[in-house]
Amino acid sequence: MNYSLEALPPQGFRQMCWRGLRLWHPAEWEPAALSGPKEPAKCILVDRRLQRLQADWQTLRRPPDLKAMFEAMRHRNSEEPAVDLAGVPGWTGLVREESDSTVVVAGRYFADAACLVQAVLSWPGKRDRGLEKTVLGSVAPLPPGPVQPWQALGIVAEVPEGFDLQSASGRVGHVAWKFRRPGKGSAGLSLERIAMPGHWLKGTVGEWLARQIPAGFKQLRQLRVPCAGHQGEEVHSRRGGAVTGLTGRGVYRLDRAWLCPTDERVYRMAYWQNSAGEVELPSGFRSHCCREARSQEARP
Amino acid sequence: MSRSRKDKPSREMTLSQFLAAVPQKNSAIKVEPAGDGLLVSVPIPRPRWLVPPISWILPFSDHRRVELDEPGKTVLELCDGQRTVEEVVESFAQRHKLSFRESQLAVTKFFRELVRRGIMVIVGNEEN
Repeated sequence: MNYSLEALPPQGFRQMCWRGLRLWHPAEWEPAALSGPKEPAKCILVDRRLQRLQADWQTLRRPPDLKAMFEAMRHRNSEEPAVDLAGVPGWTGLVREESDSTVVVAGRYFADAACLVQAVLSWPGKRDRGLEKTVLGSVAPLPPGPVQPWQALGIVAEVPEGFDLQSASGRVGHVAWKFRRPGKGSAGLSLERIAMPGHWLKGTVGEWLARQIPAGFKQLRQLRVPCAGHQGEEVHSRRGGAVTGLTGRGVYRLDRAWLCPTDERVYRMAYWQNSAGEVELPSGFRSHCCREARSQEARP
Repeated sequence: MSRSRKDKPSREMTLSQFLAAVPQKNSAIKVEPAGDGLLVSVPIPRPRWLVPPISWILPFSDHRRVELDEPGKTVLELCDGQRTVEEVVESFAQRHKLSFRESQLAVTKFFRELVRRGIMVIVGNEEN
């Protein structure tokens, strides 16, 4: 592949990984919409006033004729001819000049991943070709592997292969994603990032976490554990009927939460599975919060 | 003759206009501390139809009380008649370590409530 996923975004940029696609965007662009599991893959990034980028992507087994696609689009809209976007290898597109803005519609087929990506960039005022090159040049399908990176709205996680996104909600100050591993003994994984703990967190994180255990689960034990470089709390719980209780089987659940003083957010993760005993987080799973915690974890 | 809906000037603002607008508190409101937040009293006019004997049956309070929590108090205090919506959103974001968009969504929703309850108006800047 002619792109590197190991590369880090340049200063002032953030990385986003969503449903198998990675891209970099300026820090002042924020995700306004991220497609859920049953929708076509899409993300929309906005700045303070305008939508700046919309990316749509899908799997296509055969490479499309992008030039023809854009030619057809041009004839429909009587726009400028399709152009190879200067300095952005692999991307073809249309540039539409308007009175006070420029809109760039670009497309690229990633043959290795059989993935077609379409990106619409809006430039109020003057078109920033350098920024355009950085953003489009960063777009890359994530290759399959033992873990899949997910990164948006402040959550950074590596989720083991086999877990599918089941739901994603982004209420103000509360991001929550849920993953499920389908099949027998199905397992689930959830991640949350909650803002303004100074306002809603009464008592300690441990006390709060113990109250978050879903109805029907009985707490087995609670302990303090290091989480992403911070001190966190872990609660083990179990749900089981009278018969399954005798065998020791049931749905075992692990909840973990910590308060990141740098981000001033509470992070919570939970994992549950049908099991005969207490569960641990799935192998390969990792989640981070602030940069400090990430750099601490990277140290040997 | 009453004015039809079509004749009324549009009160819709673009996002840029909204961010440049200045939130102004209703000068008639009374504010007192209540725990971490505030208790805001908004005077309400007596309805013309509320005369005896109806007024003997229907109790009437000449003000409405609205309780604001601590974040609500922060936002109301930031609205000093000088700061624009954008500046209020920025200050709220810094104070609570929120992103601009998170703060914008929260503050906008809160402003909508305050306007509905007569505590505030959003004054557009003609230049924008």
